[in-house]
Amino acid sequence: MSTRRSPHLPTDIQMTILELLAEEARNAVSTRQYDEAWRRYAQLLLPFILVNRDWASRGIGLLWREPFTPALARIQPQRRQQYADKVQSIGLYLYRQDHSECPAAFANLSFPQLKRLEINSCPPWMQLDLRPYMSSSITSLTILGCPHFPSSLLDLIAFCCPKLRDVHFDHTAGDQKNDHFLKFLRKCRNLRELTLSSRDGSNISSDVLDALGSRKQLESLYAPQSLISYQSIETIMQGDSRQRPFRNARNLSLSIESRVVRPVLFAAEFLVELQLTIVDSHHDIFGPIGPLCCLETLEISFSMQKRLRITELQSISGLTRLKELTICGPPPHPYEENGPLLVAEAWTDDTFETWISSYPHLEKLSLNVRSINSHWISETRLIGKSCPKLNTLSMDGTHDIGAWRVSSQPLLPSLLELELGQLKPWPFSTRYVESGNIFYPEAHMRTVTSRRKNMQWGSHA
Amino acid sequence: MGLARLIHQHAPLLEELSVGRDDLASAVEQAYEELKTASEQHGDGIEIMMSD
Repeated sequence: MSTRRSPHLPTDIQMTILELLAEEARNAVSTRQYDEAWRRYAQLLLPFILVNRDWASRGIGLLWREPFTPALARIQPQRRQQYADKVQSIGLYLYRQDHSECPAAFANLSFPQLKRLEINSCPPWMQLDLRPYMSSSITSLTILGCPHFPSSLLDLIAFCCPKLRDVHFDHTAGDQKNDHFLKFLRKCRNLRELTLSSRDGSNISSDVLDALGSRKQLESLYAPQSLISYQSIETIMQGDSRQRPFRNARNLSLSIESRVVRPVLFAAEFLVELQLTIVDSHHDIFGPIGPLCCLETLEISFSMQKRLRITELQSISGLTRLKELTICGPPPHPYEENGPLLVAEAWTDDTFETWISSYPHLEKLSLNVRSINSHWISETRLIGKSCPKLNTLSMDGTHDIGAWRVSSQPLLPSLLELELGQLKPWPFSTRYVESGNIFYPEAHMRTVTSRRKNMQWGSHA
Repeated sequence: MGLARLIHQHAPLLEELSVGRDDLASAVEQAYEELKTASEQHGDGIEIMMSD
């Protein structure tokens, strides 16, 4: 028998290794859904759970940290709380048959470590008691498709979950005049990220806008379908002209009038991601965006037809950190060739090249803009020349791919996706013939052959 | 075939291509797929020529 003892790793290091293995297993099942994902995750963790008592205890904790919710409902009632103590994430997708038994099974449980709660599509007939889930440790809350929930529920959530950082709600016109919603926003002092889904396109009232804009901690606001009107922002600025809305925001996704862009964005100097739906085209929106030099993602969608001048685009030339740029018009009607469009006005090769060369880090460019002329000359070539990291290029209009021919090196070496509105038919033959393992254009070969003949003829003469 | 070859030459890593909805676009996309498949099967390199 050997006298050498096997090396012993400190427990902390062993557990760190186990956490890393669990993370790897989570990544391995990320493309799967629901019970299939969890079953596979359990299979991957099982060998680690069987190592020893310590690994079993920690491994089971990891397994039940983010369980497939119905799996907890299937545990025997007397042992269910033991597992509920470990749960950190619960998703109640009540449109699914296998989730419908969960609320009743969890009615007498508590989830002391719960950090994430999602309730989706609770039917009006279901009496869902939220008290078992109202843990003070919750930081992320999503409630969607539950319009029958009473507004006073927000008071309970704000009281029981003081650590909320990330909230996603349905937002309806009724919420605007709702004191409960305003109180909720004011009480959740740690709120960093708010997403408001809206199906009725309701406006964001001045009260709600004031509560959100003045919040120093707010980093992300996603309300792409709730309109911010000029009246709302004007009311706020009249109340306090020194107001600096969204001054610490990193991500904004808003639907706004064009004249609202300046007052909403003038203080948002740390924005990294900005998505705007502009409902009219009466005022310049590029000027106010130009100074936001931290922007890495900019997406502007116009709801109305607009003529886009190159001088407008030049206003955002200073955004040299941009990695993703999307400018698009309203979606065309499928049966109308000449529906509302975003039309390029006075774009030339020189002006376009000067503008696009401002973005050397661009990885995604989507310009759903059409030209007044029948085609542009060489904008795709200029993009390739200026943006070597580009992996996605989407452009409307007609394009002359033949212009790429002038480059001896691949113009778009990193490109993975290319979408163009239409190709300009190349007027010359572009068939290739092989000569000495190198492909030459057929026209080029004809010229060479012709020259050779002339030379032979000359030598005979 | 010429346009498809130009695209293949200048965007060698391309995975998704859509260049319109007309006949030319269909022909180019089809030619590009054939070219890409042939290139993957035979591993033939295509050199880029400068136009004169």
